[in-house]
Amino acid sequence: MVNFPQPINRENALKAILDGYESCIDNEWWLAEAFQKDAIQNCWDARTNDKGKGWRAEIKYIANEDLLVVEDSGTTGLTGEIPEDYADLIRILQEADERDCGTEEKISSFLSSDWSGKSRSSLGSRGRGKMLFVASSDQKRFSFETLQYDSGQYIFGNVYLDKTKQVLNEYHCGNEGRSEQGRQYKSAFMPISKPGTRIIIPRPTKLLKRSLFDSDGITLIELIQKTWWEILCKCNANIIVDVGNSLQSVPKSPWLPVREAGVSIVHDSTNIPIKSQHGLLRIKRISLGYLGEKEIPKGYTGISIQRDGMSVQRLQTKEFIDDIRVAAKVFGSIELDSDLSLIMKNAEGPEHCSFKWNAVPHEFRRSVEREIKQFLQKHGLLEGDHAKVAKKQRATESRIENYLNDLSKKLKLPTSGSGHKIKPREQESRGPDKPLRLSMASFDGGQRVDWGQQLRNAFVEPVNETNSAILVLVKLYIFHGDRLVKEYEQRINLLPSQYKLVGWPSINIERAKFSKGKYILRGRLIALEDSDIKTEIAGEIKRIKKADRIYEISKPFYVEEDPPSVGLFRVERTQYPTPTERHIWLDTDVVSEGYVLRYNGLHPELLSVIEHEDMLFDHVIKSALQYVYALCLEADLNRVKNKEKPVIFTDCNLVADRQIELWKLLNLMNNKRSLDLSTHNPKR
Amino acid sequence: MAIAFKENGSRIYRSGTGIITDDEKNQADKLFNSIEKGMNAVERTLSSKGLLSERSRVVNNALYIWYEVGSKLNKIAVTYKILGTQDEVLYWQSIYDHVSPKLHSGTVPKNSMSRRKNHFYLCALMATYPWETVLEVGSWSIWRDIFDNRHVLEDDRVQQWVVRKVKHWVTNEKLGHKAIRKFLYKLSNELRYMETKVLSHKELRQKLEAIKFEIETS
Repeated sequence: MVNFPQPINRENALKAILDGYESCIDNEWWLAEAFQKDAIQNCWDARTNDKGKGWRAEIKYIANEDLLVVEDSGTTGLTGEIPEDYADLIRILQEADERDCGTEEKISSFLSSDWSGKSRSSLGSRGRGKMLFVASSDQKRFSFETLQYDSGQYIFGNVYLDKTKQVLNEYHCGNEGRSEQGRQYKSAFMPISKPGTRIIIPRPTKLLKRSLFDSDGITLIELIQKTWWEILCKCNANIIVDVGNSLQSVPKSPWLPVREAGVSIVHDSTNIPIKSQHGLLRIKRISLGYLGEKEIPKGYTGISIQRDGMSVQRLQTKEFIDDIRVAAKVFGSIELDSDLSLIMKNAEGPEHCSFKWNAVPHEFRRSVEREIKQFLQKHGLLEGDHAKVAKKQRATESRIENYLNDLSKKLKLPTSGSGHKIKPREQESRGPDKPLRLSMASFDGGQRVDWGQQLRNAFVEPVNETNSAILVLVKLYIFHGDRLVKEYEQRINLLPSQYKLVGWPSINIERAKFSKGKYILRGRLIALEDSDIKTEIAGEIKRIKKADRIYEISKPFYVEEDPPSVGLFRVERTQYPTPTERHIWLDTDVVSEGYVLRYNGLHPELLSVIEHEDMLFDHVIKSALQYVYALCLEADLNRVKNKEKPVIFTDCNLVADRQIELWKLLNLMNNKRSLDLSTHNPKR
Repeated sequence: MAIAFKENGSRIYRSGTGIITDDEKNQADKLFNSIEKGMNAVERTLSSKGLLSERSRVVNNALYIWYEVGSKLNKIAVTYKILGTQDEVLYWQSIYDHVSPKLHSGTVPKNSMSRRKNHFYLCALMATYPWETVLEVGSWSIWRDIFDNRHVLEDDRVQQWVVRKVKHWVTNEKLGHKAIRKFLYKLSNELRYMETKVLSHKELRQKLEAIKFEIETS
């Protein structure tokens, strides 16, 4: 019988490990990110106290020796029994497994693969980090030194891929180790003299060096800040980087924690319960921030899931929010309590960059989604259901107002404050249609737009009703007061009868850019050439010359407030305490000398239609028209009394008997409604 | 970046872009200190020359005073690269926090929120011209009238043409403020329906020279 361990091509395994990191991290500086993450997590796991007091980790590149070094102090070093040979190593590992105390045998875990001695609560517990170090060297090797905290024993060794594609260990202890270290690295540094560990990677690969030193847009320090912001903030962790002949202490991240980032729109929730098959777990804290107009820097997008001080994975907010523009501006972090942290650790991928979500309680993601949505709705960044309904109602109210105000102009209804005196209707100031002009349609959705919504149809249409083409510039501006918020321009060779829209199909109304208030969309038509076309400019008919501002048009819109009412009628929803008592009624508005048509949103007849725009419109208009009829009747009666001609009714309809009949008819029509015509009934 | 303001005894930060990071706050603090130092220095210099009294500035040296103030503010704005940014209008608004009653007394004028009407912006604009030119144009009130025209502020070429014209009439023709005001009013009317920026330099000069001003025809 022949009996031997199955050979494993470790070189392929190394490539697979690197591929795993690359696909998990998925950005151009993946190798630097993986390297610093694994290196620092090994150092952090070995700290002598929870808060990391006295702890230090350093990443240094020694250019003249082409060595990349990771060194820690204030740590335990690689403690445990030092194996004498392979068989001894297996014995130590097996005994540690039986005793479930792998954390005590750090040196043995270090010298093995996928047999990590780290506790389930420590960060790197699969052993991939060491393989990453081997793969990071062109020579496929790395050296290590450690001084054990408890025994004071010094060990120096090498881990390397040999010709048979196996990963081999060799090491020396005590003075023999120091001598060997001196032989290999004497010109670079002395052996370590304080408890800790030093990893030395000779001839780091070009890919690693480029990723560490030449990355355009993100530096090693920024990568460390992004991953380790929590320990940098909470423990003042001392991480040093020396990769360009200058020693730099990694400062705290400017972006996390959110509450210290200077973001004005923030949210903090603590102790969020998560029901799971493992019992009641808790999210310790969710911190969210909304960045508004600025871009979230690379690496900070999404919500970082923290585990034991390290950022493992960032949940992208667009997974929870449909509006990807808003989602792209949300960032933050999730900290877990110890029990949930353990569950998540077991679900963590070997690269420590992702989670197997089928092993994570479903309630976790649901809770995160709930918190994100509540945060965005609270700040008007996301339309809630209530806001959607309110918006529809306001749009319908605007429609009703416009309808009634147009009608009142046609019917020449007087204002409410004129008493029996009829005010002459103001002449409409409408100039002649100009052959060259701009046309502006109504905004889709009304003049009011709220944060998180879009202003649609912000267009002008240049019109040429002459016989000649003309080169023009169409300029479009949005002003808030005299502050220019947005502008756009387009040169057009405007042909006769050509119609072309210029402007913005939609504009996102972001809170950071659009504060509450009135805005003006203004369009200008400017001649870019002298022309024989004549048109009215500045009140004179003249030939168009280059730079002449041929036409100007503007229209207001309102952010987070209703536009002021411009006609005789205003429509308002009211909530009457006794739902059946009032339905739809008309009040006078003493200030504007107009009328307010009120509808009781709680009335049973309105409840059934209130969420349907067209049905609400029809329902309210039916009652409103009866009021308009009554007002017309009163107005004409007053005209007759003042010996003027009535506008709507004929003289014979207005004789006393017929009046009473008309009022009776009106009251009959409104028999079932609380339509109060008593103030308009001349019989009183 | 951000701009720091004094409010109720403490410092608050505003930015044209919304969010303010720690770095931006630090930069805003440096700017705040520079403005404070700069304005104190200007006031000390002017006071030592007897141009500013405890009660109010000396009226007949207003041109020089505002020129000095404007020059200092321009230097600071250039150093901190504020001009043309979304925070520029905030910068001009914040100057009121740094001047003593000798230079400005009372509350901050409401219209100073607009750059066009901000007194310190206009001082700085005037200070972009050499002192000799500023003197030749005449008084501070003439400069104010020159800048009280949207086209003059929006198009540098119009501004420079107007300054040259006014300089000529004041220095060579010895015309007074009333006549200059008439010219500026006429110019404002002529340019009201013109978009000067679409014109080339030559075209613009031709249009401006073609305007028949009462001054030239009389």
